[in-house]
Amino acid sequence: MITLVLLGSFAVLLILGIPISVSLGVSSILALLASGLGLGMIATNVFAAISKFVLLAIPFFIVAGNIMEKTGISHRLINLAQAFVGHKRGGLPIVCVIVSCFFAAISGSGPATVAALGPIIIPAMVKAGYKASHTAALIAITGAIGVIIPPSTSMVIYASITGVSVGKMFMAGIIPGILMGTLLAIEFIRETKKDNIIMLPKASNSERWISLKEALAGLMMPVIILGGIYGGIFTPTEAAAVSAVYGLLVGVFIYKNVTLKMLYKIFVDSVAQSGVIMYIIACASLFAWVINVAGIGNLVQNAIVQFADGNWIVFMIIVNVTLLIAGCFIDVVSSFYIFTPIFYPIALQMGYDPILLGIVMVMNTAIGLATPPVGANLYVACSIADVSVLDISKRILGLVIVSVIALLLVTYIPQITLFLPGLMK
Amino acid sequence: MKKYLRNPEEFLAAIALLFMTLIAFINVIARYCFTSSISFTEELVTKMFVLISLFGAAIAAKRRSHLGLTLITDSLPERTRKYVVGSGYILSAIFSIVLMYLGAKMTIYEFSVGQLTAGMQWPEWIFGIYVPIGAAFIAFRFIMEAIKLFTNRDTKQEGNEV
Repeated sequence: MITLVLLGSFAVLLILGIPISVSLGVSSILALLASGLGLGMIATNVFAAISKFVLLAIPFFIVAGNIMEKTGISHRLINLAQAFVGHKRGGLPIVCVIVSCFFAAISGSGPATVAALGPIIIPAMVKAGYKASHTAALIAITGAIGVIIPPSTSMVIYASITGVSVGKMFMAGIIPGILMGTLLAIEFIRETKKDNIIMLPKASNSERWISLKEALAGLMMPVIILGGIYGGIFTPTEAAAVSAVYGLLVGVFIYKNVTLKMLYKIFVDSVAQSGVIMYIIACASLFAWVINVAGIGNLVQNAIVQFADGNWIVFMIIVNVTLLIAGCFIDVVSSFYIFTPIFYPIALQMGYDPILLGIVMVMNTAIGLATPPVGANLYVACSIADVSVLDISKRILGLVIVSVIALLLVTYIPQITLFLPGLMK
Repeated sequence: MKKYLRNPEEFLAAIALLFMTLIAFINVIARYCFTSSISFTEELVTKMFVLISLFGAAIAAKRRSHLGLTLITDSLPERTRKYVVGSGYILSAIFSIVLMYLGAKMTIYEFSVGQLTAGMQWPEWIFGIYVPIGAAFIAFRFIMEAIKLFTNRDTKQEGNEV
């Protein structure tokens, strides 16, 4: 009964276009009322869900990303990549992938990557002869690599739920992210073989040198973040704060283009963007709590364990299929809060590495960012490229398939993911 | 100045986030340069985080940037869509009012038993009160958006930007 109320009301509210956070919250309240458990714990739950030091990395990384975007670092990164590979066949798509990886390493967020790079890359690619909808599809999905390449807010969330090390998660994401990027670039170049593409003239060595110098401050950012975390100098949350302050200093003293008014806007925007995420976190953790106290989690776990019958290959198929389907309807944060408490204990029981499970979940939800109907990246890319969701959806199919192949490789060949964190010991 | 007064949550949250970022940064510097960290700051910024998160949700309500599944509502005819979306805002406001009420109850409880925070030993209610205050702002912003929709004073396009 309580299951029906919880999931039924959630589905109805979601379909009616109610914000995901509110849908999660209202269905939790209805389920609690139906079960007679009372609402006494809700406020405490909301407070506790947000006030975690690890999660503070989210607004800090968002600030850092916004600063980097507003100070023009994204533009400089694109110039750099173009100077080096722009003259090659398929150069621009490769630029798109490389820069996404790099920018993602700064902002830690998928939609933010698309919003920052899209306005620059999409017009450039359309001018070179690529179709707008195809280009938008590419940037929507390469922006998703943003949450796989560290630092990543998704990894922070997974770590805060399970207690695994954020640093190890970050390390583990590097190779899977590069793998997915490489496959995407190859597939896109294959798909556009017949398009009439104009290539950029080859950049001279001095042009390359200038673009490198210009982008250096931006290139240093991931080095500082990752170096600082692995060097044991600061925690991931502090790394996020350091990168925000670093971005600010670069903007003020090196690029000299930060005004007080701009700074105010950066911080208000960052508050609003993290507010969306944190409100979902508050409500999703409430929802996950109801799932737990109502015994739904246990029920589902037992069913999965029985079905998988001790076979981790089957178990991971269930994980992937569930998350890919869920990713089409709910957002990344909710996915983590709802499914991690269910999958994590089973993975531990089966001896499947929890870090690897985390990366698999991050990749799944990343692909979800770029799949219709609820793909945040997709909507951002659509509005930038001025194409319809339907157009972009048709174009993105091949790229999604390639991403799923990358996902399966990562799922079933643990060494891809665990090689780098293994070196940390 | 008027702009800041009309959007008090924007102003307060932006200042608070700047403050939190700097505190976390200074903490790293302090630990390495003076080998002493200001440990209580961790608890302070973590609790302030609740306020800026809820204020952020209020700003997002005003900007209509809360994530949702809009595929179905987008395909409705303009008039119907307006009422569906507006009703959604009303429901969102009601949820926030419930949260405000429960948060107020929690704060009163914390005050009455004299609960202290774990690290700084400050009264817990001065942080607990963030929940009802934040929820009140969220409710207000959702109601304003619903009124704008229903009274045709709608100038914005609701979007899905994040």
